[in-house]
Amino acid sequence: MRNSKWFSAALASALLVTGVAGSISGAGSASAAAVASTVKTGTATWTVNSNPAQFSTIDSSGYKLYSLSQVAGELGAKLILTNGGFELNDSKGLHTVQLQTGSKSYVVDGAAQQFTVAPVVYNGKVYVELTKLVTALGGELSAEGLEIMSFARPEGQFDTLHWTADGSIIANKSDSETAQLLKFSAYPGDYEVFSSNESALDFAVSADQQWGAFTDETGQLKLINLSSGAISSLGTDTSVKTDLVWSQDNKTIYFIQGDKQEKIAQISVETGTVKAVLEDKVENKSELRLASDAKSVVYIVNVTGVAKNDADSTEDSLTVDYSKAGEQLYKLDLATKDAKPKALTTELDNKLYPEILANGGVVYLSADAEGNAANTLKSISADGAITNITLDTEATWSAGVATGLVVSGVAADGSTTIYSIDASGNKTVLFQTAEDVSEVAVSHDGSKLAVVSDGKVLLIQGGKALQLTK
Amino acid sequence: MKLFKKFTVTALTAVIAVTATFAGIASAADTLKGKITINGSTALLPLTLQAAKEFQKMHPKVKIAASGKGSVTGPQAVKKGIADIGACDWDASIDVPGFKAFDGQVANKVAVIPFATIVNKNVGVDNLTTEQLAGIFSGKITNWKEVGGSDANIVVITRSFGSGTRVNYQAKALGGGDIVKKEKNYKETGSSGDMKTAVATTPNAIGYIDLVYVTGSDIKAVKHNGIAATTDNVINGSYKIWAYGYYMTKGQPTGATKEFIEYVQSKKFQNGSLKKLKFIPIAAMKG
Repeated sequence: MRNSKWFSAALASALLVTGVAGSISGAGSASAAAVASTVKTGTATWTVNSNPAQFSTIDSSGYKLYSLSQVAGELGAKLILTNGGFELNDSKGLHTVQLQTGSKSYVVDGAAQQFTVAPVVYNGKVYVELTKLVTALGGELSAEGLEIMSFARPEGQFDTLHWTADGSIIANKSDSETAQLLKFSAYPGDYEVFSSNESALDFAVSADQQWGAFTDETGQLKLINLSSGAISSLGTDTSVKTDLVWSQDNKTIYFIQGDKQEKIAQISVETGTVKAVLEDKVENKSELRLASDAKSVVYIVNVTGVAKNDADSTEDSLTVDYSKAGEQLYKLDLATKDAKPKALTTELDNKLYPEILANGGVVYLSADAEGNAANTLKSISADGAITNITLDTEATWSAGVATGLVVSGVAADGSTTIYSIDASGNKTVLFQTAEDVSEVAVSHDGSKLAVVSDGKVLLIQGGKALQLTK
Repeated sequence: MKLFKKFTVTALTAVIAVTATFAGIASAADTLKGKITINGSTALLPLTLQAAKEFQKMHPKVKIAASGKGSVTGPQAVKKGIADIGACDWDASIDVPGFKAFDGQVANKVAVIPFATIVNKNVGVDNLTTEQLAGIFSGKITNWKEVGGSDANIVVITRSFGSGTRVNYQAKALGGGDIVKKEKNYKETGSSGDMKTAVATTPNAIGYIDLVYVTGSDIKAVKHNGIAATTDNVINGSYKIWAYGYYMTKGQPTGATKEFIEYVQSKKFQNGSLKKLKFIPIAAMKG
């Protein structure tokens, strides 16, 4: 995995120790830089890439210096003895560091830098400032947590998470000047720039999580290989397409089509052929969902207000009736030829996140359009009855999964809880946090959960939130 | 710094078999509520509804009700107090040909809208100059053979008075020329969709429309002064028939209205959904 060229900020200053000073030669050779034999030696234990590591240390000029060879070894960097000193290369070949014992000057990728304390030789080993060496090699260090990562985590604001088949997370770096999708493994600091395609910042992930689908500004449908990042066109249709949804067998993509989002269509992933699913001339469709058996779709129609005026568009004649404006849910039976869409709702509440459950029921998040009542999850049974799903938090999001739903909610104290709710209505808390959660992504097999909190990507793993960005 | 934050995770026991992902949910601190009403440009309506859908995911308790009836009805509705936002294809806070400024209204730029001259698929002409277009829409040129086409009467399809598309088309495609009503071979339509249908189903017809609507094989866009109507040509400055789309508000927007407008103007929306609906981001014109 290729790392970015961002350097981590110096997260800890040179590690100051008290009461000890070793003598350092000012000469630029290993022998000349040897310190007096009275120097205090010791060891320090850190966590390197999540594994414990013990380093030999000496205290020099009031600073703790670390064994160069040990640090390089733990970071996986190559250490070469050169004529004038030492050269280190990180394991990805991104950074080169040149240093000399007895000299505060060192070079990182061709740029001159300064140590606080020059590297020294003691008992045949070279010792060096830890923080500056780690960061020079592109790593990241937490003095507080005694943690080191071979590669620094990217810094910034992130959103739009997607899981891939190999367990990686793709996220959009939203504060980047240019489009930048990063792909993260479960190991902090292990990431790569996945794509810089501006149209690919968000995409619909296939059921097998091998592919993403998106449209560009011309309406052309594109597929992105979630392993390689390679992008290819699918078909030649350039009509406006929104709300892309993959079928469970990964062979078909359904979407809302048209300038006014008036159609539902599908495209064969194998042939690129577009086929109409619904052409009822009802405009402003959105939030398309496909049942796992592909026998039905659910979608929202955004009913607009009705404006009227006279032929001369006079101000006096203008009226606008918003009394019926709002979202309504519709379901279309795809298994019955020429079936007509069936309205599932009539109320004017805000309707978000519709989902089709395995039993054919439909769930959506209902928000009070007046803003007074708490959001609720509503379930629509096959016979059309609408009931509330009781939560002990106010629902903010939901998604359909094989066994039911995954739901997030906010409690009165501001904490966020993410639940799974099975077909019987049993709730299991997946994750709780006092932090604000702005996004959630669940992996295909359900074993992995990631969230965005305060713009940072957090992998929920082993009972803890592992911060993949900073 | 702590790599591991102090979160509590009870268990991840559910077997989850589909990817569940989304961009942006309501913050725990979200208190925004209220109703935003938007009327005006039919060209901007798809953009407004898409933005509304995304905005409501972050602010579920905000109701956004929209309608389209032509640009001039946007600032009119704001002036009458029957809409919070008037979607308009021109800056209605200043005078434009045919319309006085709406005093006290603020024009909030939200998109760049390219327009195209369109003809029925049976028309053999693929380029028209400003002078030729002015002649056609003023009624001085009535036969396609006068502009290099076959011997057939030109059927002029135009948008009704008050349309932002019409205002911009007159100003930029016709060089300020008039659109003159005729007794025959002339039709007015009330929306972009109706315009497309009329030109597509009327042999020898000519009309004009937002570039986003130029799809299908029944209509085709013609070049203007030799320049094709494309997004790239708008951005590089060679194609002149385009306009900013505005959200007009009574004074500076506040509350939920302000937040919504800022979302539409955000980099996330401008570079995301707005482009996929075939509008051009505002920032693209600053280069």
